[in-house]
Amino acid sequence: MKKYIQFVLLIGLGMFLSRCEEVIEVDLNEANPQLVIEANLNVGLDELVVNLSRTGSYFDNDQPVRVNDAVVTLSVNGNAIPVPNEGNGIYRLPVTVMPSQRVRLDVVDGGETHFAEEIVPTPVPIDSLSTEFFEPNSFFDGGTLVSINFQEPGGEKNFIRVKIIRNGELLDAPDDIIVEEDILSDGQYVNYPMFGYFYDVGEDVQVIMESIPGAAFEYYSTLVDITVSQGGGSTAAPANPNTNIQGGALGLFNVFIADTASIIIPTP
Amino acid sequence: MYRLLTLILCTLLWASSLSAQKYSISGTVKDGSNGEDLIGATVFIKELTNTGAFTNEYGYYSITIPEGDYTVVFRYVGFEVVEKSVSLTSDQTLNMELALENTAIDTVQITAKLDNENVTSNEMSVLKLNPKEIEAIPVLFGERDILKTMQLLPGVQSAGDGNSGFYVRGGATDQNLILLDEAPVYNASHLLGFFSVFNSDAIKDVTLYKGGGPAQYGGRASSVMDVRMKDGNLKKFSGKGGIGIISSRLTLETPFVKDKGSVMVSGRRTYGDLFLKLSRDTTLNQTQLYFYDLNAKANYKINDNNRIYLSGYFGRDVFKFGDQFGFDWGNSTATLRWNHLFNEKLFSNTSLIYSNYNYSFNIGDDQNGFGLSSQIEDWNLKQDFTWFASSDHQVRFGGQLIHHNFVPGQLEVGSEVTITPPVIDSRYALEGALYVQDEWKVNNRLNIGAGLRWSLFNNIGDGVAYTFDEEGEIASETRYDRWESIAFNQGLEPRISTRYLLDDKSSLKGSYNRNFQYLHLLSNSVSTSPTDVYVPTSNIVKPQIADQVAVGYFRNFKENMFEFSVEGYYKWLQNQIDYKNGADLILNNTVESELVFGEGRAYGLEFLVRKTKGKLTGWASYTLSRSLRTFDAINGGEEFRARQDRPHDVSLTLIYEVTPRITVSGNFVYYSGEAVTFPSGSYEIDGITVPYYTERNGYRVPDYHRMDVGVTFRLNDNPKWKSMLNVSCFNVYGRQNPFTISFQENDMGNTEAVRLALFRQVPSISYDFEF
Repeated sequence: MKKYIQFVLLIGLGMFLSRCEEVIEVDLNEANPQLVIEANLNVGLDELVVNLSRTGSYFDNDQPVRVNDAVVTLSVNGNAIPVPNEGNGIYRLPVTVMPSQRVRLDVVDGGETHFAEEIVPTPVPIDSLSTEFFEPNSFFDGGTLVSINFQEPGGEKNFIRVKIIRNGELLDAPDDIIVEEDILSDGQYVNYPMFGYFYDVGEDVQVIMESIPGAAFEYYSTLVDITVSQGGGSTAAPANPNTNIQGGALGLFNVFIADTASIIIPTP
Repeated sequence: MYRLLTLILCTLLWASSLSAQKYSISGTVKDGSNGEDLIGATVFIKELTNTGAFTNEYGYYSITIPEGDYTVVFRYVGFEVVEKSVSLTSDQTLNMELALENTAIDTVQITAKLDNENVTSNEMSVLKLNPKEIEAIPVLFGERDILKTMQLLPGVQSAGDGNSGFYVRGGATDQNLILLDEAPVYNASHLLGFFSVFNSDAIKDVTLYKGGGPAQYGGRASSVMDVRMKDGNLKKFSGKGGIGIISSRLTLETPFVKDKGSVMVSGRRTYGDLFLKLSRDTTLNQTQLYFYDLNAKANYKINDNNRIYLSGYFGRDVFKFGDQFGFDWGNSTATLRWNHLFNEKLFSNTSLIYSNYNYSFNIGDDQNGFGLSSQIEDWNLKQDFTWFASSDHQVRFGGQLIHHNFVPGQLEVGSEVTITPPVIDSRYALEGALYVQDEWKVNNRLNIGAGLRWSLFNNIGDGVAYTFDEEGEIASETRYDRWESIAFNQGLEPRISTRYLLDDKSSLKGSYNRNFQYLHLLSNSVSTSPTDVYVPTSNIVKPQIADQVAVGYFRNFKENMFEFSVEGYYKWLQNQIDYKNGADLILNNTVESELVFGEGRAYGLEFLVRKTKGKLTGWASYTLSRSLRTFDAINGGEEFRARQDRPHDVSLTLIYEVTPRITVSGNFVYYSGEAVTFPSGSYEIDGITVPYYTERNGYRVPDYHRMDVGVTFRLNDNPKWKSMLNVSCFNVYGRQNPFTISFQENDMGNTEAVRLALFRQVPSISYDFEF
């Protein structure tokens, strides 16, 4: 919704004004380095991968500083298992968890403890993918829209994240982060059109739909706010994404179950 | 409260009945050329120092003095002074029509006040403008805009290019109450804020209270802007209009019963999109992109004691791209007023006021599209009395009752869309107030204005009231029936202002006022957007409260040729609103769970020098100020700068009359950059570079500055047909003031700051006429 309004506003502005964009110098302070935890427990793959790094200077293009000397632990229903470091800031653990189990991640870094707790979400399988063709006009070249059809489980709140692999390539730009919550259609059979992506005939579209916890939805929604506009656009006062990690670290502990489907765009 | 009111009135009655046999002189003061009431004209008695009155909003005055022979003097800047001898042995009615001074040299007026009124008036923290004064000041696209010109005065700051929102003394844009013929205007901007909704041809007078506002005004924490429309020419058919590069205007006025009834109709429309019709492309030639305004007013004087006015405003912005997108918004207001004189000392005005702001937004077609609409609608009944109790006391008292209806968002989807549209509840509220205000001339030096406003706000059903737990999840919900009270709030708002005359050239003034604000604007965009949503004070949201203390020194030099003033203020703000991170404000039934509450303070010093006479006129102003906020949930509880925190603000406006036919003018504006939140580091998540924020509003965008110049040629200057040509250039040296600064990755993979500026030089030409 917000995106559409912005789009219309921008067209309006663009038609009326000669806008001038220019690169300028902005003097930014250097913040003290902060721990960043990127932890993904992929239930289908039975694997936890934790990536630890530190924040760096905003304008520097240097590789982030990796953290290899932290103590990382995963607890499943209270049983703690150490997560070994394999270098380059990565900690990996093969582990099998079940929906509705309680999992907890602990990271001890230089005497400071950071932790996050989550409930393993229930899977939401894709039923099918469908397509719809839109005629071209002067604002739009025409193309085919892909929709995901699935049964929304109802009852408790469900959250999904959608990733698109277009012709074998994962779309991974900041504005390709798509997350949704179910309040619009609790318990219904859903036809979910992926607006903003139009395909040509013959393209190979693979869709990964992940069932994610509410905290991950919250994290990615607030992440999109600051990465897409980078301090300039939609949010009046940007802030760090809302995280489920306590203890001051940035990042997210995500626990998800994925389902995939693919389609070759047919001739309309 | 009632008891207090009665007590005050009785005391005053008693005081006035004590003195010797007294009679009153009362009546109206009008512009002799068109019969328009003159607001704030001075009427005084030559033989008695410190005895006089100003005409009220309807041109009415009343003076009570002992019997005797007097000379009554009528003055209004730009008009000939009239002296009238009276022999006062009974109550007298004295209606006066003033003739314009030599019009050829007087079209550029800088002030509509008595020469030394700024020193002698009780008012402080008040700014007044009328459209005549701003004719020669250069503006964007040549569209004269009283709201933009107001921003050149101290204490009033523009919210930036492409934004007609404004900040008054460190307050937010929603803390300004904008009234058009008493009707609140909820969104005063056209075309995403490049223009205000006020077509200056239809406007008679604008007054902005930055503080110390009298008790008849209330409802917003920072300021009140009172805009009055022209009534319509009572003498003859007349017109005014203009052709500019983006829009044209036409205003027609005529009496329907000479000296008794008249009508005024004024319209304005932009025509940029008419060129699109020439396109062969079927989507492009169906594209609409315009705004229009229509102001209309009629008044009729039934007899000497009764007069009625009916006025309305209707304006709309329309964007429509083929049948793919549609987006339109606008205000409608209507005011029905009845002026009644109970006797020569008691003037009454009763107003019934309607106000509506709405927007709607459509995407796609009937099958697959969706539409969103939202509105706020007010019905407002106001009763105001002016009691000219004695030559020392002028009392205003009255009350008002408003019914608010908020429709935050209605979503409709096409027939083939399977998503169930969320139902967002309408919300209702009753807002009331009772007030009394006394202007008391204590002695030749001291004037005191004291007032009290009792404001009440009842958030009523039908509707659901929620409470929330710490995570913002619903903890409880209670359903209320229509008219049932959900949450009731009230407060007393004392207002005091004093003026102490040091000599006839200088004075000291001081004021204190408290204001409650019960309506709150929710907006998470940088600029004011048509889709902003208002929420009422409720079981969760508390009324915003502002307390302000101000002191000032006013001094005129060289026989009132130069006016100088300095004012200092300190403001405390309670129950300020901000948003949780990632707050979703649109289509959210539980939007209150997205809010956080805190406090604020603002303080500053405002300097103003004005030159009001001679070939060169204009003003220079400088404001030194801060505006800070403290929220437990933001910035770790540490105080941070409000977005509108701008320590330095300078503006200079000069108008030079080269010959009676040619006037050259210029503006220069400089202010500190707005406070913004920039990252102080970065990290990677999912292969994406993410900015790391450490402090709210810890940075500033580069300072804003700009110069505009203009030349006005008077082509014809006879009473039957006046015309002038205005050529101007906005931002003449092409300063690229940032609209936004964003951080982007360039082709090399490096992050860089990109400034988006909306305007470089914008030349414009406009032709104006009057008959």
